[in-house]
Amino acid sequence: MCCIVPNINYIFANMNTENARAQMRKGVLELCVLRVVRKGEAYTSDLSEALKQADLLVVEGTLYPLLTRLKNAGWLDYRWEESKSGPPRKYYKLTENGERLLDALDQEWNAFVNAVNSL
Amino acid sequence: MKKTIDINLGGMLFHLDEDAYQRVGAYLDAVRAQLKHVEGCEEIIADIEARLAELFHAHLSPGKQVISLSEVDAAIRTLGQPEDFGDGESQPTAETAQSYGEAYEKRIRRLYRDVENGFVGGVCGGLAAYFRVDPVIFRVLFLLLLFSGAGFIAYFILWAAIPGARTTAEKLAMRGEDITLDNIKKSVEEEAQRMKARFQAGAEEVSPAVKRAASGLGGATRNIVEAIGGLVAIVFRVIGFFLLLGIAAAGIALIVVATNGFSFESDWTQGTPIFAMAMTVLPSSMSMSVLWLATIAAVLGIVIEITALVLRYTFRVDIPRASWRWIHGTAILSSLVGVIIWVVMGIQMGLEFREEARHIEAIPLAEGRTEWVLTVAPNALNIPDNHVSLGEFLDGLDLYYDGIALDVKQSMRQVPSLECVVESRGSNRREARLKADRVQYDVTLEGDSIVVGDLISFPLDDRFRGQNARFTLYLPVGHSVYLDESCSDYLDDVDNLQNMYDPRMAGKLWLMTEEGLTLYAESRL
Repeated sequence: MCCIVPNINYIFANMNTENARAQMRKGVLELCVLRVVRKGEAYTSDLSEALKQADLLVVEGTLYPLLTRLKNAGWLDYRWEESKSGPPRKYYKLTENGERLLDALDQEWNAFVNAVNSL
Repeated sequence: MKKTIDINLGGMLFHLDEDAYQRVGAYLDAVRAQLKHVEGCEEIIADIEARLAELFHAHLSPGKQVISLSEVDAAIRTLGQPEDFGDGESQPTAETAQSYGEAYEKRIRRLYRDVENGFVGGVCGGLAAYFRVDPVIFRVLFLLLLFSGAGFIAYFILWAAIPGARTTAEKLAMRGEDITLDNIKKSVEEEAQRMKARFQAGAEEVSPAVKRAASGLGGATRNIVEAIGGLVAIVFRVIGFFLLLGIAAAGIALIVVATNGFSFESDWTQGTPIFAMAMTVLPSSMSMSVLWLATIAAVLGIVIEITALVLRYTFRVDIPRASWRWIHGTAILSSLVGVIIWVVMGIQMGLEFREEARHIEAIPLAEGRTEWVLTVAPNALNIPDNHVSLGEFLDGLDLYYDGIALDVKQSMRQVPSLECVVESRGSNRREARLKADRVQYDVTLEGDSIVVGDLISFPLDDRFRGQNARFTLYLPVGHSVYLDESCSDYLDDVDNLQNMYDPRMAGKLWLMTEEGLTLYAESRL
């Protein structure tokens, strides 16, 4: 996370167009979600909290289709856990495939940032 | 004081203010519309509902039991607008944005199956929710219909056609707004809006000129158009309702007739006239059950199709595409099978009328007499009292038919005689001849009286193949005949010197001369 945020903020600070910002958020959201999940099992609101703090997410809603898609693709898995404050929660974690994908995505991302910064 | 509504979100019970309830339903509707083409849509909706439940739960305390509009709005701010659920792959569509705004305004009640509280498929519960009555009413109704068989078919059609209320949005829609004057007005306006939008969309495709015309409608004119559009929609819904009732009634009638039809073989006289007529002309190799199955199949297909169309277009039932295909397929297949059997039967029946043959019998009359009385009397054969009054009469395995005709001609010989010519048709000459041979008629001679029974009879298995009997009285010159009044309906083209019209010849005394039959006296001497 630590290496993404400054870059993103740097880009955003200079673009200052809400639309471009949204487009970029959308582009990296998948990577960000996978990175948060790598740190440990996460519930949707944990994920959204982490992403909101990093100013990478505006509303939770965006996450639900994404998580389902990643789960269906076999990169994420989840288990149910009872909750005192509502219905049972889904806790997501990376699968082996997901780990491999994330490694590849990390490399892609670094290459991408370097390429952009070199301009 | 405010009314609250209980809903179930992610397996938890919440009490919602009425306006909060409307908004949650509208929101979930819009989210669903946004996600409907996304893979795993149901799972995503379930996740969202669970999260919504959690967000609501956080606001509850012993001092606050009810979720109000502000909590709903807060939850929606956290989760995001429906457009935000796009997953970066599908862009928010104008349709979604529009339907969300629309849904916020109000929630019209839709017909869903109450899958949670249903005994079988939730059809009765759904109907009850739609019409705001106790489900027991519909359950009893269907149970009663079940005995006639119609309920069974109707239930399965409805089960297939009406989607189950699975998500909260659908459950809310199932118990949606009451029909009040205000709501009708709203629905009229909305219907008009939608229609206008559709017209304009169509106009854009057709030609810019039409588009200009549509958008150029003056305010007053537009209001009128909108009002008319709304009224049309309501009228259609009312018509649709009665159409459904009609279909149900027709279905019941069909089943009742059909079941009677099947039991008909044990008791001919209880049958319906149409059944009796069909029975008499059916191809001899086919049984009545085949005709009934064909008829039921053909009508059932139409009933299924119309029911589905009515549900879709007047009650706005959101029939899933897969079910829709299934319904179409069943309807077409069913009707097609029925029609094919009909056509095959029709052709076969036609072929059985191809050839004609006759059977002739000459009955000599007693010698020594020169005056005769010709009478038509009810057939001496046993006719059931409560017969089918269509000209054909059924009794056991015999068919009775009033196919007789009377004629009077000059005899070439010096003795009078009665000639009976029985005709029949059949698939070939031999068949026709056999059918003619099997025709029975009733002639009684006693003294000067000739009594002809008004009916001929033949085995039901022969079917009606144009069987008829023509009785010709051959009179030598100098003999007279009194044509009784009872003959008037049966005299057929009798040549006479007065050129008198056949029915009028009855009730008069006629004399055979060298020139032909002539009127001798206006009454019996």
